[in-house]
Amino acid sequence: MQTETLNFPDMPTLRPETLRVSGLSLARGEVMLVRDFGLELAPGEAVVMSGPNGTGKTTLLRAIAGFIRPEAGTIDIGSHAPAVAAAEALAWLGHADGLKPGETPRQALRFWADMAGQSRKAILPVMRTMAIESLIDRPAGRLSRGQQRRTALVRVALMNRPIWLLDEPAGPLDGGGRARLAELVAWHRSRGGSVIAATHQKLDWPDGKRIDLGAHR
Amino acid sequence: MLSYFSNPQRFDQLARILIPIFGALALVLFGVGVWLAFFNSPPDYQQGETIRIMYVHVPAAYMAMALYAALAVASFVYFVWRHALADTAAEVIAPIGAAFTILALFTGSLWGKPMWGTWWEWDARMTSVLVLLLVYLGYMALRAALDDAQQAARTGAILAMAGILNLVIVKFSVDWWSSLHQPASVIRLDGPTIHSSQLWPLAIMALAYTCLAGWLILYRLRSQALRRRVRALQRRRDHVARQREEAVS
Amino acid sequence: MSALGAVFVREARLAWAGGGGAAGPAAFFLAAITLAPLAIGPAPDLLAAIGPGIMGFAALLSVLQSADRLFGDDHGDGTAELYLLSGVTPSWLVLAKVMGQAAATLWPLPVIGLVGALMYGVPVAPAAVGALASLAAIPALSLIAGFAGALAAGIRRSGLLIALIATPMMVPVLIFAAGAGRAAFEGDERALANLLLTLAVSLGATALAPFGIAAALRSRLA
Repeated sequence: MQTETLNFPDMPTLRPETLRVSGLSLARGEVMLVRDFGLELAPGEAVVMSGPNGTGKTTLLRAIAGFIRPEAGTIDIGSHAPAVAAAEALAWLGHADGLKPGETPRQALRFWADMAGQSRKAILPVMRTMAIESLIDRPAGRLSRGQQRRTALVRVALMNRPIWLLDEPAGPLDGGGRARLAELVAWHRSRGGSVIAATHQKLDWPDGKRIDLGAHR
Repeated sequence: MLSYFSNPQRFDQLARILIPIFGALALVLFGVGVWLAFFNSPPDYQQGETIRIMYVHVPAAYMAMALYAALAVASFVYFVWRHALADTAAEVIAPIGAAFTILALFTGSLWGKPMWGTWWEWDARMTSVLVLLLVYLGYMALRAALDDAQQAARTGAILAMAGILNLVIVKFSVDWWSSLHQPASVIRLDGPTIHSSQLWPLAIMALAYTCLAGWLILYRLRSQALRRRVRALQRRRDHVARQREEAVS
Repeated sequence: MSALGAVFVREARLAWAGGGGAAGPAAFFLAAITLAPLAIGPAPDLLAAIGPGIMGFAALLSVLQSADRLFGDDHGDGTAELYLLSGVTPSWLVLAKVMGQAAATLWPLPVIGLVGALMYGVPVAPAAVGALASLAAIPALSLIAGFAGALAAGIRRSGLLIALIATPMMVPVLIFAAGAGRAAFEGDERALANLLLTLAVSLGATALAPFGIAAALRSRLA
């Protein structure tokens, strides 16, 4: 499918981190969604979580990001104690893309590059790998859902964080978009990064671990 | 949450014993207090018989403030230790505290008519209590607007804790505000010192109010805890049913 | 650019581009102070006496009027999560955010307050004191509105709820800010004390409110 080779930008070296989840139990409104869940995500690895709606995929990602406090269990980031703070190691892609309708990708991505202390130089090359560089000055409100998703994925890459948490990353993406997402993930893993994605679509990522959350209760 | 699943039984047993005790105590104390207040205490030398409104008003105002303090403490306990019972307590205390606040405002207004000649005087205490009512209403409205129980609990706790700090500053600012203009009234609420013949009925009425509030809170707390458990069971049953359907399809 | 500077600039720009910037609060303020004399009557003495108070009151309402935008959008579009995971200390971040929005939207309030007080027949000196006091009150007012806005973020028709939550918290700053103009009008030497108390409340809010706002934002993501 890939005929062109994508040029990924040079970015400051990642500091790879390991994510360890053990004995994790999560509840939503007094219903246990996840019971005694364990996971170890080493640098370079990818995990694809699947399972029907309501099995706790999003809840699990939100717990790892620190938004939800687990009922039991621990989540540690980093290979040594003390663990690294989630806000320093994670890049987040939620259901919503985090874009402002009046803001162009250029404005938004510059802002997030500044927030992460990263160079703005990487914006255009990463946008090119997601094939949206021509949309750089179009307000996000006028982008299609798929184009917005691609912009959000560029933001994830720009943050230059070792662990990516992606909730339905391919949701609104077309075939080309999914292929480019796979490229982006492969590039990230080649740099020592790791990825956890929650999806009910088929993601064709080579040697990604698969976890069926439906079986974890 | 885990402590919630283990604790309710113990709480339930305790509540079942305490509820009738508080109820009976409140009844007896109200009987004695009302008798003392209306028939066995002298009229005030300045206010005459209207002083008897004080026995209803002052304990209500005291309960309005004490219950807000209890609400803030319960919120703090929930916020730090995530004890679900503390959150239920906060949820239950708020409307009861608001009711006592309304009672305090209403009786204060009734007392104000003979004392100040108006139903409402913008005096520092009455204004503070009015602000307290707004604080209660805001807390209840916020909880009511949040569907997710956990969000309602966390968010409500933050607001309740901020409220106590706010009320302290409000008290200071309102005192300052009312001192800018000397009110025209002859007798101030805090004016004459309380005579010992008035102290007894007042103290007993305050105790009666406290027992009434305790009875109401425990009663509501127990029924609320039961309701939560029923809801949890229902939700779990629905959840299992849905999974079974999905497994079949 | 530093992260906090970036937040400040972005929020100011978003408030300007998305919400019409200062136009909303300014128009609301103008409408409120136009209506008050129509309700109260044109007696010059009365209007001059209530002028400083009405200016403070109308400024407070104008701040509330736009409070639902402060955190409502962030909650719905996923920005709140990104802010909390940005690595920037959340309390500093929300402070920069609220100040950015306030700088973009609330700057006309003291100006209109000054002009409005003059239109009500308040002499220049007390009108200026009142305008100065409302300037000093803006940090406190917008941070309180931000706290209420963060608690109620994303709730349908949150404006009313935010007003209910914020009103009791705005009581002190209203008393001091409006009191400064009032005392100046009456020749009371406590005008300066009121002005300083307004400043004190704003400083206190700057120190404390960011923690409350950050906690509120986090609690709404749980």
